[in-house]
Amino acid sequence: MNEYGGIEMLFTFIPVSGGFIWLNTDILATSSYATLGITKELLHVKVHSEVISNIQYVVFSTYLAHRLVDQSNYPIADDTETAYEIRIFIYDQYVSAYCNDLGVYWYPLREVEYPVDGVTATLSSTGAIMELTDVMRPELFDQREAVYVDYESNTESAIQSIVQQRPIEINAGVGRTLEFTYSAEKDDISAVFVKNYRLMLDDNLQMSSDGIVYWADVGVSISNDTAEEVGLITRMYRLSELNSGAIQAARVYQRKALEKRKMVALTARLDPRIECRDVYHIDLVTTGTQRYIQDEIIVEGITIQMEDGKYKMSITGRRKTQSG
Amino acid sequence: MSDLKLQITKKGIMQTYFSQRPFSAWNFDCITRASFHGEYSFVGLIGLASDDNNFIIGYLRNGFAGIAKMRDGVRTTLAELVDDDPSTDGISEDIIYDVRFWHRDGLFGLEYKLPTTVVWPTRGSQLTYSWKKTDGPIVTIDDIFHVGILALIDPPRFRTTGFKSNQIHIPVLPLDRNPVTNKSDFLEYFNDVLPGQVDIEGKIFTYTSCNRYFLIDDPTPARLPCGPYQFRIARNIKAPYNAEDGFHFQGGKSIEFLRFAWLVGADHYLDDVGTTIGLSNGFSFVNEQTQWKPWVITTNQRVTYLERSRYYSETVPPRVPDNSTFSDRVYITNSLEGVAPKEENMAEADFQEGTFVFLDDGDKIDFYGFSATSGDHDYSIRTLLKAFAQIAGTSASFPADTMSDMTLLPELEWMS
Repeated sequence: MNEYGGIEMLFTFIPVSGGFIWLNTDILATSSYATLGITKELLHVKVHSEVISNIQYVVFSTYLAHRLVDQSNYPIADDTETAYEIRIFIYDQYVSAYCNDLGVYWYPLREVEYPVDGVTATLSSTGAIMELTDVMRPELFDQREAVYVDYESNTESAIQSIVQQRPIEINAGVGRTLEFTYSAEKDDISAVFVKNYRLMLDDNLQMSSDGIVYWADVGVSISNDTAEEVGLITRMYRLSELNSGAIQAARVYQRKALEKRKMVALTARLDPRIECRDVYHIDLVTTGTQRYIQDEIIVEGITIQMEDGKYKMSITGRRKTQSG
Repeated sequence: MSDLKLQITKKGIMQTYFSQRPFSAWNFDCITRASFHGEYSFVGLIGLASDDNNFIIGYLRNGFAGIAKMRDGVRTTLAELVDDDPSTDGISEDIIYDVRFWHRDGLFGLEYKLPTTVVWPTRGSQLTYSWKKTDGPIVTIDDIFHVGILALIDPPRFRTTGFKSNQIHIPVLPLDRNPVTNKSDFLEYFNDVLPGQVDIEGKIFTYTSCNRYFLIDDPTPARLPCGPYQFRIARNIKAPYNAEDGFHFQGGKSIEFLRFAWLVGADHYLDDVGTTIGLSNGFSFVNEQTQWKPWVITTNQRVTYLERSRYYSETVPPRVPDNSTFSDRVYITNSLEGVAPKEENMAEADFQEGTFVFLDDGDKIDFYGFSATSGDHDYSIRTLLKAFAQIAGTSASFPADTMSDMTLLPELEWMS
């Protein structure tokens, strides 16, 4: 269990009289003024609407198990049908909630325990059928209090000051966008006309089965896949810049290091569909040796060469792990 | 129910504590759980603070909840509601309250509730104040907006001419008036017949009554407490020095100081009887007779002092210094009477001229917790990246975010 962690959940709904929406988590917590050391209970956040004197209020409530520990409202609009764009952000000791871009609710918890493998969250309703749209659970939910950027900074260094030591992949996307992710994969693409296939096995220094994570706190990140495949390796991850999300970052480091242990390089006919982070499925029989090759890689690099009317495409990628 | 985190007993000086997180917040919510004891105790939450003398405060005090601005240490009440109805659990001492003070773009609000009441009152239903142009600038520094807590125990007080803890009077420094009311707290609030207790620099003393010889706002007698006069000598006067044109003063213990009034002793020896004579070195006594034309014999000649008076009292403390120092100052004034340390075996203490003496009722303010938020969005990596990408002229996308629409059916068996 971790003392630090978080979850961010966004959704939109139109309130229904008597209807409540619940965000249920497996985060364990105690209330603000609870005595230290008492039993922690499951954290739930409830949201609904109420009308007082023709003013519509959004109401947020914090529950521990089935016990209401705090509730507060906030005026949103007059008594007309209004969509509520809700953002519930739970991080470390804090529950904060937003409605239509307004900070409307917050509650500090006394003690918190986050599941090691990430928070499991569900949405449920009571009292009425509720239609939710734009339900989103962001991947990059680590809380940051402040980011300092010099006037002279370029975008890249500004972004780096946000990302810090987290192994976030940054790729160019369609329409001048930048894509940020720990682990998102793009399209599944089948390999065709592969001319050359090469598998490189190379143990790298980032690999570990037992990661000791040094950050604002100290924690441990276990990689069972590495232990099975390579053996027991202990390594320290110095993520001293991080105040949140360090264990998750270490886990990503471990998984990618294991994947990079088996790098695949191949040459194929030009296929303009392929982008970085695509999952490239290789399932073919080589023409020379008639060897059957079946592999699955996550594309990391693409090189296209055109020379004297000939062209070829070189692809490098890390072999995808089963759990990856 | 709650662990005590901070207790304030210091009087007269605002105790402010600023939050480190958030360090600065324009819109804010502050919450504290606190209680107070004493009629003059304020428990407050601070916002938009530039420093510890300039901020906006939402507070509770006995029977009142209010919002005030503090500018250069001077408090101006902006809005105050009375809640002293005991039948509805009005704001009372020794009760723990949850207090919330918030600000949204010029609108301030305050709510309070008992800790046993989980649900906060409707936001804005108890006390709000919308900042007005006539209130002046809402902040004194335009990029520092601290939040925090404030404790102020502001009981009636006066300044003493000096007090030694082994004395039985605490003299009142003349012209000591409350700058807000322009009246003497000593005359307004210190009960002259009932015993009470005072706090001097954290030490508690009991008193039995007040010597209110000078009623400042009463024209009879049309005199005011006076001083300082330079101390000259303390001595035991024997005949014939206590005589003046056939009239005999009581003689005995006396002090002399530079107060000149060429009055006939037989007619005016009781002019200052009953006044408290307070010295800046902490000694004091109640005057019994005054010899306005004191004299001595020097080199076989009678010499009349033309610059001083002699004040007699059998209770002149034996340890009043003699003429070894002329730096002590003397006042003719009011005082607290029958003063004694509340705590047995209190170490002897000297309190300098000008030290505040506060009416004490065991006043205290207890804080059981404090939390604050900026009222703006808490940022995640995602929201920051999105904002920076926009600044850079692009947009950010997060392909691993899970998105969907859904219909939630009520789970009737689970909480409703």
